[in-house]
Amino acid sequence: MAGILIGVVNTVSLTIVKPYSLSSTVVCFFLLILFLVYPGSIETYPLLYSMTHGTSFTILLIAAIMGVGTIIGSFIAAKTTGNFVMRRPVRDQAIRSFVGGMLMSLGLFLAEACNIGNILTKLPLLVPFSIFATCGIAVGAYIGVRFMLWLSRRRVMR
Amino acid sequence: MVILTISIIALVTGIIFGVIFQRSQLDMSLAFNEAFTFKSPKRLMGIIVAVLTATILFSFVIYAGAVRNLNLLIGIGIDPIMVYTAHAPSLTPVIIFVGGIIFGFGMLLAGGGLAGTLFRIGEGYLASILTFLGIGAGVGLMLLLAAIQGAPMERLPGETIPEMLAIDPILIVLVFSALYLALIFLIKKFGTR
Repeated sequence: MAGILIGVVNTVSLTIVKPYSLSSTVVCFFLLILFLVYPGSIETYPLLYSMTHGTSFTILLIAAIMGVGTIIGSFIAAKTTGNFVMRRPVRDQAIRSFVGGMLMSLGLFLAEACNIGNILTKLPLLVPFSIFATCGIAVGAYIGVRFMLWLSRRRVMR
Repeated sequence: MVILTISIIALVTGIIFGVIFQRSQLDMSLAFNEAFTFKSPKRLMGIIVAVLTATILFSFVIYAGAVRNLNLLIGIGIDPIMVYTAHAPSLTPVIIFVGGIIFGFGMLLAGGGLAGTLFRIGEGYLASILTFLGIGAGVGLMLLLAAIQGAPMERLPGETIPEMLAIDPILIVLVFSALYLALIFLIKKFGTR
């Protein structure tokens, strides 16, 4: 049911604005931090200038707003069902989360989109490259599962 | 005014997705983990259903002209489909496949994909904030390196599969839909305990 709902909402989003994608949420967050810390960088580097002006910036901004909306929507849903709880990670989990995030950023850069962008948007749009990205994500996920199992077995043996 | 309207619609879309993801807990990392570890592919099948639904409906709204007539971005001169078909000049299938592997591995390590990270931030998971910061740090580093090296933001226009093969899109949609249904059938038959 949720799968059908996601497909339908994504289609409405494509029809009126653009399909759902989230990678730009992170890019906009980085550009905002960069602008606050080093405002001159935007004018200094042509790549950053082109990302913060014109069509590119409009697309980035819209996707970033979708990302912020996702957090708000999740917060509303969690709060209204009593599922909102601040959960502090243990040290190992904190390190894995950050390192996992950095690996995801490298993958995002190479595959030109995240899992949502490739699997839920580009694949339904029948973009050829998304097939390779989707297969890669599945293979990487499998390797990740095996790695996590190995990690937990190592912890138990200690 | 149009940009404001687009921004509000984007925010509402994001909120709706946030609610759906939180209520269904449909996260790809969890889906793959359950399917590979516990042979419980329910979540994974939900994702395939989402892709199947979108494949059929996307083609319908594109080729019926709904996107051309109703899309607000097209109204201000931006093609929302070309945004996704365009790619960097140096991109090859191998690079994308390897990028996907790295992303998939990182996703499992972090305990959530990008949507999973964002909706878990909304649930109060502080670990997901660290994941987001990790993604931000990595993206920032690579963008800065590219910017300092003087990399231009060059994008080559791309094609969809029907355009590439010069085949009626309905045929391609039917083939892909059949593939997804076959995948669901195979997973149900062989992928469960």
